[in-house]
Amino acid sequence: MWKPGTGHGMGIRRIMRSFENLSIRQKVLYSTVIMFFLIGMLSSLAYWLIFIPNLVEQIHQHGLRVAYSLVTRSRSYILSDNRPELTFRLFQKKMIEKDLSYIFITDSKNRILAHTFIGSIPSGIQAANILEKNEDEKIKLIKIKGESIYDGAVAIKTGITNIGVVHIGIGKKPVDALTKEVGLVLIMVTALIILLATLLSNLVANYISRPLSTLVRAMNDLCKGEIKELPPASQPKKCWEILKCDKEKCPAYMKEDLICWFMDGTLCHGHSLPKTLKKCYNCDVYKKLSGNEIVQLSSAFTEFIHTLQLKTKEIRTSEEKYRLLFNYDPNPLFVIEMKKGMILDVNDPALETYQYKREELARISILDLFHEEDAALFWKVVQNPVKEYFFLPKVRAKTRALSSFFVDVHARTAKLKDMGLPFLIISTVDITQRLEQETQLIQASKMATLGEMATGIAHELNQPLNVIKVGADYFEKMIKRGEKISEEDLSKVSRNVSDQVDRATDIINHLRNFGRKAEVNQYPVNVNEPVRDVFSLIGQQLILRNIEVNLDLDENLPKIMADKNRLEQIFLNLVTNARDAMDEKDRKALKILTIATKREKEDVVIVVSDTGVGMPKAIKERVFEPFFTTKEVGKGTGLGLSITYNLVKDFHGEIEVESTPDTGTTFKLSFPARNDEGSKDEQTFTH
Amino acid sequence: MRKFGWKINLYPFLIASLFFAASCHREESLSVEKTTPGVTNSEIKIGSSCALTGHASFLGVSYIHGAECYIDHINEKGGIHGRRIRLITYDDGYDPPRCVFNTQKLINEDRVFSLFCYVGTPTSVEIIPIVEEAEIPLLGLFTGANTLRHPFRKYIFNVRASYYQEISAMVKHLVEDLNFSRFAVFYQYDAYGLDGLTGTELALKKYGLKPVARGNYMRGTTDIEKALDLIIASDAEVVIMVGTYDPCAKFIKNARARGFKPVFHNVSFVGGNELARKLGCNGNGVFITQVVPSPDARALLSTADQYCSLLQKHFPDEKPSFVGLEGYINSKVLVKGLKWAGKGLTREGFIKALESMDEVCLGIGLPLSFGPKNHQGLDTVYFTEIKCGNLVLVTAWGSEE
Repeated sequence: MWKPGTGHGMGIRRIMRSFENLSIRQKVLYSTVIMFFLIGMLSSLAYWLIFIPNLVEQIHQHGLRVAYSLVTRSRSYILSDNRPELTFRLFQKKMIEKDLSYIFITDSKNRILAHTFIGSIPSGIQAANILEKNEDEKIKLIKIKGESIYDGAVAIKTGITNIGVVHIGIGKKPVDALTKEVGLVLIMVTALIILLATLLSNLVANYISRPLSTLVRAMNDLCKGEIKELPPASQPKKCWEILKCDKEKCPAYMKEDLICWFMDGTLCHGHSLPKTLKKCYNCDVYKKLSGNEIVQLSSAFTEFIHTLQLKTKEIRTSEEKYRLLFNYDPNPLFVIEMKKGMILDVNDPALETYQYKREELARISILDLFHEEDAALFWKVVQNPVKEYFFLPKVRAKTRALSSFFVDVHARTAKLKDMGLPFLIISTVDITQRLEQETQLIQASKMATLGEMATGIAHELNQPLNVIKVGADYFEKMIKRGEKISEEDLSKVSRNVSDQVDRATDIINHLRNFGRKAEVNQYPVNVNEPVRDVFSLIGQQLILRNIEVNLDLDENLPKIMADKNRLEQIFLNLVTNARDAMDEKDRKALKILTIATKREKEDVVIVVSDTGVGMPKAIKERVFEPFFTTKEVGKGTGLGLSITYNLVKDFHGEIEVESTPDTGTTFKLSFPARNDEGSKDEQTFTH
Repeated sequence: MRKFGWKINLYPFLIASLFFAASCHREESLSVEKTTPGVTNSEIKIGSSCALTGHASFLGVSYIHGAECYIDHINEKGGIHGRRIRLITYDDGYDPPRCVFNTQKLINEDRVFSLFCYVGTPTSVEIIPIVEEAEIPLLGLFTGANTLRHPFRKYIFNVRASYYQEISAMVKHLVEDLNFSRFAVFYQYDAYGLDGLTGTELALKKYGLKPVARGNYMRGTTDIEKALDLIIASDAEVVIMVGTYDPCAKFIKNARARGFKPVFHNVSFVGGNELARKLGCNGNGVFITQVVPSPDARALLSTADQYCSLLQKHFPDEKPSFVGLEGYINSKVLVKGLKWAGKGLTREGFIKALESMDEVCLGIGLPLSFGPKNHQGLDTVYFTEIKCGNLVLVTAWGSEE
């Protein structure tokens, strides 16, 4: 912006800025031309200030010398008043000194004795430049007929008497013409020099800027991602090729990215760098690199690009290798960023599994591949990662066509050097098949449990049957006796029978429910319900075995996300284990099974403890392993606690075990409480 | 990237051309139109400086008288375009300084229209720069010096042939017809003599010859002995003499006296009639080249006849001579030029009129021609021989004739 008052400074600055903006070629060109122009101006100035005054002075001095020479020659003629001879001398002198406009001699009375005027004597010329008495010579600029002339006067003396004066006239115009002519030549020479300098600097500028332009072009190509094979210099001969070197230990030997040991200073260690070899002077590498800085820069850049090409090739190879590994993983792999979970990269199996195209995946978040709730849960974990690596089991994923399947999610945060934000590498393992097997296993385990419980259940059914038998027997005895059954009794007994039938039906229904191959459901469940149900199945058994059951249930528990049937299986397993553990004890020993439910912070906690035989630490550590059992062969499957563990994990719960040998064992289960109670209905899906 | 190409390279040209434009402006001097000097309605002043006294006085006097008698004749007839010709003559005594002084005086003080009838090489040569500076025409010089002819002098008109022409014509006959090869040169040590020497050397060079001896004397003296010794010693067959009548006559006399009898040749400036008179019969066999025909040829040439009668009328005591006839011819050219220049007489006009003369008949048997680049009017050389004090035209050369 132009502001008044600052215009001058701004102008210079603007000029400087425009100069900055010029290309190097123009800079060199302009500065050379300006420099030579200034030199020309300075020399012209010097010419006008020094040379011209000097030249004029020289001319004056010469004029005076001519006058002095005439003084000596004319003295005798003046004394003898030989005017023709005097005139002749003057003319002869003037013929030699062609630059003089006139010569004349005056006598002591200032009358003209002789002169070289042709035509007429300018009037008053003898009075124009009069010597004072004490003066011997004088130069004065006078005007004759409008023409400026330097009149030089020199006194002619005999002894001390002044007998006359020699006057010489030096026209100012010829002097001016001479200086002008010399000036013109100077200007022409300067102009010629400027012209030559322009041409030369144009050449120099081109010489400088051409390699630079090539570099700039190459650099631009580089920025655009095109690494082109560079012309000639790109593949310089290597020193070992030139020298036919066999020093295999030399660092430059057979190295593509080192050019020449002499230039690079990469001669083998232990050897001092020798003077430039004779061979070097004829070596292309040396010649190329020992040139000026621009050539060196160009060479270095060429070499840099060459190295870059090599490195790029290496990187490409490496990239291909890892891409291959990436794609060869049978499990879908995702690279996502951690802000929105946008997918940065996927491998081929991911495309196959989720039935998306690569471009489509690049536009969506990984969360779009999971069911909403699972996605939320997953994202929660991602946002607050405890460890670099984390694992989420049984996450419900969906394909592009919205068909669901279960996956285990393995995730690892990663941060590459120089890549800014951290990202996440995610592997989703399709566990559908595994889940199938798991379900079968659970079923098998359940059947085994049922088998085990068969006696107990029979016992359980016996009681109502007995009651019905008693009722039936009573009716038969009364009929045999022919006694009339009172209305009251009839009604009482029939009601009793009906009750007992109901009870038996309940048990059977329950049993059938439990035995059913359950679907994987997660819905809000109050844990107290499955706990109570377990005892409806095996409560009688426990009583028979003198086991006291102590239920301490918190009736205000929040619900958890689980499957009631599965929870029942969990508790049944634990209770069965407790029963077995207490069975092993003395008949008279105190046998108490305690089941407590309570709320602990955000978790719902269920504690199952017995006063059984307990277990040593070594066993305790292995209880959740599949097929690990302490029971006699044929008595247990060894799968009970393992399945229990997996089931708890399925419901995102935790299971811990505390045990003291001979004292008892306590299992503590905790499940995350459901936050928004009742807002969501159960979600059921099968596969 | 932007390409400037040649656009920027034009700046130096631009700057240079600005300089040139500034410096090329030259002042032009205005020539002031003046009235022609020396010309009035009734008179044309013509100036001359020649030797009227001293050792060359015969030449100057004869020359001027020859010229004057025709001018007087014209004046008596009423002049040219009503103007009488006034010839102002100063005596320079064949002395260059005086000639220069006289010339300056004629131009500055007498303000003559034209210079006319100068006599002598050393004198005439000195006034060349003055003539050129004054831009005044100079017509008719009694000298054949090369300097007055080459380089071309715009203001100087030579009526007569040059010494080179005289000498080369003589040498041609001497070599080709008489088979001489040993030439010596006796010359006056000044512009005149040296011009003759150069002319001789050039003429001999054509035949692959060189002078066998060169002897000189100082102008105004008759110290010829040294030169004579030198030339006698060279055993020359021919002596080319470039001097005035006194020393030349002395040289010939002394040579003859010492038994040295080569062929003598003198150029026209020697003043043949005077030389013949001085030598008498001693001069027999001395050749003199002339640039005008003999005034004795009155029966053949009207001008010769006219000259003789006018001379008789105006200068009864004077005998007709080659020199006088030359002066007379000069006058004829002058009068013709003034006539042709018209009434509005200017120096330029006069020069143009002279230059327009082509094959003009002057009554001497051969025509005169000038031109814009030719100020040499006549080229003919006449050969004369002294026969007992008289000049006789040579009609036959050697035995082959």
